[in-house]
Order: sequence, then structure tokens, then C-alpha cells
Amino acid sequence: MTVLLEAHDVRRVYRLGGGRVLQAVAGVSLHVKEGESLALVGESGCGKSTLGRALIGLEPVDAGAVLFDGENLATLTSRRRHALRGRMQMVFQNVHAALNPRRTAGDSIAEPLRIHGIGRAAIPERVRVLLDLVGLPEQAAVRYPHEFSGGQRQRLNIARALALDPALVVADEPVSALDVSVQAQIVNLFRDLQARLGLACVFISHDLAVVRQMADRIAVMYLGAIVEEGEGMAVLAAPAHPYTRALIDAVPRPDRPLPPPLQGEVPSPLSPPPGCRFHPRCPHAIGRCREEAPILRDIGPGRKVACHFPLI
Amino acid sequence: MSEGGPWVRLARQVLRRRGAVAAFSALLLIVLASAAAPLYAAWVGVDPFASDVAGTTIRDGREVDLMQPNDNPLHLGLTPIGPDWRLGPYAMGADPQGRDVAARVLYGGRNSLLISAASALLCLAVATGLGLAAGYFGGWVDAVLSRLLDILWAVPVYLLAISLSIVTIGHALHLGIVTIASDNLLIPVAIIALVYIPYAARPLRARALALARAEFVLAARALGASHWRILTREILPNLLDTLMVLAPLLMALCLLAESSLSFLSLGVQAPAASWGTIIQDGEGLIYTRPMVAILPGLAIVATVLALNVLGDALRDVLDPKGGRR
Repeated sequence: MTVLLEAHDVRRVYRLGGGRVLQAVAGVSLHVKEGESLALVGESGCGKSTLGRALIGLEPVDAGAVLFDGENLATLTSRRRHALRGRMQMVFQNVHAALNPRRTAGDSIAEPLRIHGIGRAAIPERVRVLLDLVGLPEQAAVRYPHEFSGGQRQRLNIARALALDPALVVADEPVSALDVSVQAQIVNLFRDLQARLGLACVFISHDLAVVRQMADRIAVMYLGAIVEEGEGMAVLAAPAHPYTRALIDAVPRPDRPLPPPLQGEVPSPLSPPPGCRFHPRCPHAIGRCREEAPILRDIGPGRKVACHFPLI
Repeated sequence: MSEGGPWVRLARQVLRRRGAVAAFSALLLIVLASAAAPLYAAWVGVDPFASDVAGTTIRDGREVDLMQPNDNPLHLGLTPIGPDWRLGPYAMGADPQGRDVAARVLYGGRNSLLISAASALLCLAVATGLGLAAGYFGGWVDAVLSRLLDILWAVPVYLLAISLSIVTIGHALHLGIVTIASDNLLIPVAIIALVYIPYAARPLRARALALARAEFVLAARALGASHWRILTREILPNLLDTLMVLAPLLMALCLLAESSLSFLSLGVQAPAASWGTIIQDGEGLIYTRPMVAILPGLAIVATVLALNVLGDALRDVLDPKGGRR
């Protein structure tokens, strides 16, 4: 499979008042192959949403580069960028804010077609096909967002994202705002669409149960950096980074008591700790972890970890 | 989940409120009556713009002078004829120039309503442009526009309106090849619209700022929509709520400003009438012929009250912070 999306040492910095600097994304490199789904996992505030937006050019990068199909998003001509827009799309977390309340569902789904100059005559049929693709009836087109449930709205968001036949969809916590029973439906819809359309997908989530269902590969983020990366099942079965271990242990299971949770809070990204960013909360941290930042290194085929003392 | 588009829902919710329906009916009545001013004048047979201090009218079958000797012991000076409360000429009496007060109040309503509605619309149009630009683009655009609005808002509105009117009154404005006569109604319209721009622009900016960060705007950007397209098709339609709440409240403020300027002879110019000018006409007669000032005063109060009730009802229905969605 060819590589569709590559990020090389992407950094995103927010300059706040008073000379404070927030490193939301602190040097992330990753790649997504065609038709593959990569899960970005991490706690809220770890920079995964910012990274997700940067991956499709919705957020400028301060350093590094994002290459889509080999083209650097930062140096595209505006015409070329416009053309690429349709090939990489986003599905949002907040299903209530992701649709314009003043537009009918059909109008929202038709908007990408209009923006990209699809002939007026072809639009109604295309909207019908898209609604069908996400499992909504044709009559949904004339209704307004407030008339739909959360799950249906997320289906509409997906339909809009798929309108221009994208090769990549970045889904930012696409099910976390939904009821658990509805989450499974949307996850299944995603998997189904991925298989049918050959979509590549970056799936941003903090929910490992959802990630287990969705991801071919997993990248775990902590404080703006990737700490572990690898095949989905391999990472979940045998995590190499203590943080990944803690995330997995935090999921309640009926066959064992919950292990003690991680100590302390995520440090402020305004002043990340020296050395390994995870050391203040790591149960295994020793002197070296406090001084020397581990780099993300290969520890096996397709497996990387940023830890001096990986668990495997 | 109710059926129908946003407009149907809005109309249904507003119609459920008795106060709003009453206010809307009152407004409609005032507007229709003012619109019918020429019909009324022709029907009762008076000319509301011609001074007629030597004229006569029929009262109780007898011909009487419009200007009558004063009631004071010395019978010095003249007092216009008072109201007889019957449909017909001079039902509400005459003003100091022998003109029919009822007809003038109706004609005055045309000017007052026209100027206040036009200035409210002009103000909203400009404020929407400024609010959209400041809220959507943010950064230095917002900083510059917001500071300008702050400065404008720091000047007392009436002081600013009066100063501008004094400058423009009596001088025709020359804007390139266009000349605007000093009695053109556009002058008070523009002045009143200008002074209230910050009042309208601030809530519109706040709303545009919130909308600019909504995920559907981010989605439109991800789809490659241009700034213009996002402003006009994503954000502007969602400002309609705010605009509809602002419009009646703003028109009430504009009506008060127009009346004040006209009362000070700085708005509508004689012989044309507005409710403000008629109150001024009646100022000297307040003890002997109070209806000359009371009638336009009542018209102002009724209109402003109705506009405010309507605006509050719309706010209750539309404002998300009202929690009634």
C-alpha cells in the first residue's frame, strides 16, 4: 500500500499573552497508508485535535511539514489546495454544532458539491446516494438539523465529508458525544464505509474500546508528542510505554479489579517537564528519565516507543 | 421535535404570546393610520400643511374662527380652536398656525415611522457588515473596528446627533456630483443611524465571533469555501435571530432620537411634520390646548412601547440564553 499522508516533525505553537508559549503539537511524525485507519489516542488536551486539523491543512504548522500524496500542504497554490480539499475531509465531535442550523440536511450535504462546481443537475441524485450511503432515508434531505437525533446528525456529517469522494477522513472524536448504543452503530458505519470506499482514516479518540474496533494502527499521544506507535492489536495486547499501559489499565474490566490509577494530573503544556514528558506520573521513572528525553525509536517491525525502559 | 423550518417555528412561538400579538397589532394600526394620512385629510377636507390663521370651521352648525380670543381676563392674543372629539375637520383642534392637529399627527407619523425605520435598517446594515468583519476575521481587523465603535459609543448619542444636525442643518450637502438638500430626510436618517451603530454592532460582533468558531464553519473551511461564502451563507443566516431582536428595539431608539431632534427643530423641517415637531408646536399651548402636544406624545409612547414589547418577545423566543428553545 502506498503512503497517502505523511507528517514530518510537525509542530504547532500557540503564543499566549505575557510571552507564554503553548506547544500543542511538539514534533510529531507519522504516516497513513491508503485505506488504512490510524487511531490517535490520548487524554484531552494532549494536542490530538490540533494535530488532526493540521493533518488536513485546517491548522497551519509552525515547523515540519504535512505531505498529502507527496504534496506539502503548506506550499500549495491556492488553486491546488482547493482541489485537494475534497480529497481530505473531517468529521467533527460536536454533532450539534457541526451542521448549520439554518440549512436543511440536503442543503448541507450539497454544499461541498456546489463549492467544487458540480453541475446543479447532478446534485439531487448525488445527495440521495450519499444519504443512502450513511443509512438515512431520502426524505431526510428536506429536514433541519434540530429534527434529527445525535446519531443521525453524525451520519449527516459523515455524508457531507464523503460528498467529494475523499481519500482521507480525519474523524475527531466522532462518537464520544453520542449514546453508547449509538456509538456502536456509527463505528460500524465507519468500518463499513472504509471497506467499501477504500477510505484512509485518522480516528481521534480517547476511548480504547472504540479504538479497538476501528484502528489498524494506533499512535498514543502524550503532551503533544507520540509516545508509542504500532499495530492496533499488538499495542493493546502488549503496550510498550508505561502511559499506554496506564490507559489500557484504566478501562474497567469484569475479570479484575481496577489497578491504581495514574498519579497526578497531565502537566501544563505551557511548561512541560524536562526529560521524559511522562516522568512525573510514571511508576518506573528513575534519574535518567528526569534528565534525558527519550526519542521515538523502533523496537520491532512497525513498532515504535519513546521510552528509555520499554515494557516489552 | 417540531416540524417545519425555522421561520414557521418562530412565527408559531411568537403568536403564542399575547403581548407580542397585541404589540404587533398596535404597530400595524399605527402604521396603517399613518399611511392613510392623505386619505384622512382629503376626507375631512383640511390642508395640514397650509398656515390658516384667518380661517374658519363649522362647530355645532355655526361658523367659528380657527383662532379664537384668549380665555384670559384681558382677552389678549389668540388661542387655536380646541378639540370637539367628533370625526370631521379639527376633531383634535388646530395648532398655532390654524392647521388640523389630527391630520398633522397622522402625517407626522409617516415621517417619524419612515425615518426611524429607515435609520434602524441603515444602522443594522452597516452594523452587520462591521460586526461580521470584526467577529469573523478577528485579530487586528477586530481590534481596529472595536476600538472605533468604542470611541463612537463613548460620545453621548444625543449630543452627537444634535451636533451633527446643527452642522448639516441649513447647508445643502455636496458629495461629489450629488447634492442633498438640507431638508432631505436622508440627513436625519443618516445621523440617527450613525449614532446607534455601536449599539447594534456589538451584539452582532459577539454573535459572529461565536459562530466563526462553530464546527460547521470549520467544516465549510475544510470543504474549501471562500471567506465570502462562509460569511454570507454560514454566518449571516445565523445572525438573523440577533437582527430580528435588534430591529424593533433599535427602531424604538431611533424613533425617540428622531422625535428629540425634530422637537429641537433639528430633524424634520417645517412645514413637514413629525411627532417631534408637533410636540414643539404644542409646547406653548400645554395649559390651554394640551391635546396638540399630548396626541403626538401618546403616539410616540404607544409606538415605542409596542416596539419594545415586540423586541422583548422576539428575544425571549430567539435568544438561546433565554433557555426557551
